[in-house]
Amino acid sequence: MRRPLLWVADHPVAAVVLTLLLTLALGAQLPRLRIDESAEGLMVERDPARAFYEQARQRFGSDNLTVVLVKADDVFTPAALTAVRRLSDGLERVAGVSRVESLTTTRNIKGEGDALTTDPLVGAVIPTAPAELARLRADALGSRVLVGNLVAADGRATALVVYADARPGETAFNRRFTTDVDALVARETRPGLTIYQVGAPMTKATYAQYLKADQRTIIPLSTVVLIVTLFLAVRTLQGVVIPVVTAVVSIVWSLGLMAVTGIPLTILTAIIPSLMLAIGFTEDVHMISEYHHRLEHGDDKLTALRTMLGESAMPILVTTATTVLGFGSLITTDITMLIQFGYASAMALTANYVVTMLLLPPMLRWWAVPRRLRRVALVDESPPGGIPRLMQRLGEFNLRWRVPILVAWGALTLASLAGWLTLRVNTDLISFFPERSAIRQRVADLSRSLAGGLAFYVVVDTGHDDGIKNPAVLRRIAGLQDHLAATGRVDKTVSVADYVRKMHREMHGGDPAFETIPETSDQVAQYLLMLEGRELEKFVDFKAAAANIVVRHHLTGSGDLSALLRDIERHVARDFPPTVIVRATGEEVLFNNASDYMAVNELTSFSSTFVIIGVIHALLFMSLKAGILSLIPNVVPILMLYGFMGLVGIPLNTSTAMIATVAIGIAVDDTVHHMVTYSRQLNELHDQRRAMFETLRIEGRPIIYVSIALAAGFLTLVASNFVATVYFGVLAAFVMLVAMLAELTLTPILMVSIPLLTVWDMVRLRMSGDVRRAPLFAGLSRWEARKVVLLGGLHEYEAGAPVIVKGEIGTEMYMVVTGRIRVFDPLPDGRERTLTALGPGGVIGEIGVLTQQVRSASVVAEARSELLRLDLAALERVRKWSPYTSAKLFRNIARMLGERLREATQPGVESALSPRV
Amino acid sequence: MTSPGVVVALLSIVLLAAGAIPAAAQSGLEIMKRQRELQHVRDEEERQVLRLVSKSGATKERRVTRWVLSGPNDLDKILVRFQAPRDVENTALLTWEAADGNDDQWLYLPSVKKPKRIAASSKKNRFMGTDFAYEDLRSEPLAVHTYTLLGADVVDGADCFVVDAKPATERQAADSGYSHRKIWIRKDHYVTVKREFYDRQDRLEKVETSRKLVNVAGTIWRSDELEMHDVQNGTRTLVTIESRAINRGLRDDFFSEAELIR
Repeated sequence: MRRPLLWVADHPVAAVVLTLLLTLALGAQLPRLRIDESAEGLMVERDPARAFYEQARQRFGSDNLTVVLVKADDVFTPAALTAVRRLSDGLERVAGVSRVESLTTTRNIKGEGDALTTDPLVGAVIPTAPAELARLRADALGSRVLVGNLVAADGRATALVVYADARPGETAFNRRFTTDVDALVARETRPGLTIYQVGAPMTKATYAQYLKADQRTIIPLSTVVLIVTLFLAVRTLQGVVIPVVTAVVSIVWSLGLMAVTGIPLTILTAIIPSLMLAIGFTEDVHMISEYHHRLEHGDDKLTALRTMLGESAMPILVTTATTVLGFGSLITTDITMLIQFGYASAMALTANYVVTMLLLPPMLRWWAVPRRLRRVALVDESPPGGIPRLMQRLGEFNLRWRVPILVAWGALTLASLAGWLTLRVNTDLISFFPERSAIRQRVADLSRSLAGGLAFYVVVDTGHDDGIKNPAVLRRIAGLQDHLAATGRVDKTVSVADYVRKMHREMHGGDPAFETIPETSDQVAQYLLMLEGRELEKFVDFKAAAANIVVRHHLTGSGDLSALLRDIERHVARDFPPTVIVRATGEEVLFNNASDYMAVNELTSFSSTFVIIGVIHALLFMSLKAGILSLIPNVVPILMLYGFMGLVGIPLNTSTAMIATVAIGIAVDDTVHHMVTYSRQLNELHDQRRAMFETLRIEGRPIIYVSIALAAGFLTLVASNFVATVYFGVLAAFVMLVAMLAELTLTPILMVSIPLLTVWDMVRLRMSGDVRRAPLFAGLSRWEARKVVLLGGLHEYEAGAPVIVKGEIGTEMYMVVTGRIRVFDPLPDGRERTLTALGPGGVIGEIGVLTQQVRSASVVAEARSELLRLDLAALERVRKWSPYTSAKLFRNIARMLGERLREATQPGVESALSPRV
Repeated sequence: MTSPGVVVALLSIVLLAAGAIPAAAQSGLEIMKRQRELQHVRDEEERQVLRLVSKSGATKERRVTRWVLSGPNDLDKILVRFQAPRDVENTALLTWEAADGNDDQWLYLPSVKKPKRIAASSKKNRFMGTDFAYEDLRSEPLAVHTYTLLGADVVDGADCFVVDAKPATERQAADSGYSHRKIWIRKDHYVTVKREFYDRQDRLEKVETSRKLVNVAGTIWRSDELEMHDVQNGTRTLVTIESRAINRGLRDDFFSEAELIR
């Protein structure tokens, strides 16, 4: 990865031209980007329930319901009834409307003595005589089909129930329909009459409208916030402009790629540009910070740039890969919208990576070094200011209070697990809207005045023609309706059983005793013959094989609706024979399944992402321990978040569930940078504590600024029109800040406990065969040998540099990895008696490791050499990393010592080892 | 000084012109009256198969027998009895058309022994789940409509008059479900082969097509296959006449409540 990056640094023009071409190519695709406002993408793909729903729609018509409510002191007045008639007629003419049920369209079946009427309740002429109106009122309020459905029991409200659907190819149905209905409502509103509409189309239109409004306010707002915090973090113009440029270009690429692959802009994919801004710039901050750090240390521009790129290449690849995996894991879910979001975000993040790699090096190269950094750092270090001093104190704090800190985090996490037990899944689309919003108030008012504006179907399918005519089936249907009424959670149910009962009663002169299901199916058949028509189409299918119960309610929360649906299932299992299929269906039922599914799914896909990231890190650091360790500071904030939510009563819904995925994708990047820097420092300094301090000093500022910037960015969501989004913003900011604390206190403590190596360093190490075959490495695999070399520490010696001085007390052994050393006995007169010369694989001073010994000879490097130095501390590191390798090492050292012993006790015997030093 | 030839010529032209106008076109009303003259029968019996076709193409079948007794002023008496399906066998509906538009109807359901009088039944209502409204099934009430000849057209290879029928009285306008209708009448036999029904918002609601024309007797033609297609709803009703008898001398008391119960 280094090479391509360095190539880019060396060929800026080519890189920029390439970027320009690709940007133009993808930008040209932007007009093809389509917007998908429908919520169909929220349903579960390949869901068998969906097929059932489509069938129900075919049979009984759409369940896409809008209620137009007319409120007056008394709706049975000419003024109100005229308004209802005019609304009714007007609504029937609105494009897409398949059916209007109102007092003026419904039939009034009434029997008096020998007479029966089947005329519409309100005839062609609106009655004006009080007696007629009174009769009308009595008829309406006495009908079980009408009361609580089309008219309120107190006669102060009447509803027009409108079923409508988008015409084929119509994309803006919800908005258009809502506007058309509002126009009619405005036309009929007059003093004394309150009229408004509530329904699925209006909810969706409002939702889309608020969404667009949010986009217009929040994206600019969060951009401004990010730019401001960027500036504070890097305090140079280039530190702000470069990330913004790469972000904008990668947004163009992302949207272009979406257009090319046909992924539409939806409620979810619409956040990708904001996501690009947030995630993209964190990498830029890390790289620019590192670059400035190098400049501050005296490197010239090109060197600083190349060093930074060399160092950053690997960590940035890893963090990008893990974030892409994190979001990309969503393609394994079953929901279209999530799948689309998974693909789109993975592509966008990859695009962002490529754009950054192509544009950042040339821009840094061409941009003059910021004035602030041009002063070459002098040898004496001016006292460290602000953040570095804070980091120093923090490092000391961490070391001193290691155990209490761990205990504190552990305790908090355990405490929050208690909250998990009370976490509820409940997506409530209506409560997404602010309480003072028109839509919430209307929903509440409608439910109080008449009956809920939400509806679903319960389909009763007997499986054979005329099955519904069976009185037993009708009785069971009526029984289910009674059961639902008894739960108190349902406002009204209407079914064919109601119509049949009404007919039976009216055919017997209106005698209430006959408001029952008739005895024989022939009777039912004859009644249905009379009732047949448009009105009944909604309640029984063409062949009378299936019936439909329309359930009107006001349960907006997915948890509540799920509970009701389960209740229905239980009742059906008890009451209906297995040959009759009874199932609830409807758009809201499907959404409901999807919502709960989505929320749970997001969490489970998050946990598998989590595991994958852990595995990747384990591979990166070649240690399972390191992999697990890298996850702890990132999972703790998330555990605490959901525990907190559970304790406080904030529900898990489609919005709050996303926090986990977003947070892990972002927060874990900081940890990787932290750990990689630590491993590098460890390589140089060979001292874990010092490495920790140094790492905090280097990484402190980026970590703090990135976390604060992200928290601030999330907090801009407070400006949203949606309650759920506000929660998301606040909670995500909370997670970012807790993650920052964990990163600064937990990660260092955990890292200090294990030595860290990256696979990159391993691969780069060159070891000759002599080294591998050295007695010290007997029985070790090539990989193990490299690890020992890296853990122990390679030290470079120039030609002529002394390695060991006779007379000193030595505590380490050396092995030549590259180069040559000379062992000699320095004589008092200044001459040197050479004892031997050693090349790669040669070992000296092994006794010193185990016991402090005065050196008996001196060692000097003949040529430029790299020596492996092993002291007890190094051996400890090896032991901690792998006890097995450590055991083999010790065995080898013991063998070598055994040889020494043999030498000493049996002089003259050929020694396998080099001269004792 | 004008020559007599010129006078004669001028007179002829004037006379011809005057004569041409009435000679050239019948009015809509005249066409309808002519149709009435030619097609009217005293009584009629039809055995029909009604096939209801849903939007999705599913079908339901019913068998009925329909008797019609023509009365004065276009006011008929109609009895319909179901033979099939079995569960509605013997269900019957009796209609006496009334001058004021409020037809009297009696419904007999075998499971409810006494027939029910359906008061003031609206003619707009559809007949038992079919696409036919009651007003579609009656003979054309000439007195309450205005008929306008729109022109000519060809249907199934035959030349037809196209007549527009609009309610002429306020009463009729209120009672009818249609703002107006178009009627295609064959020029040769004066039989209706097609009708278009326009709803109150003046949109095309239904199209009725008559096929399989048979010459029952003399000038009397009927169609053995009728299709009513509700274009707004997507449904169809097909009527097939299995057998027909006309002018059999049906008695007036055949069309009574007592007869229903039988």
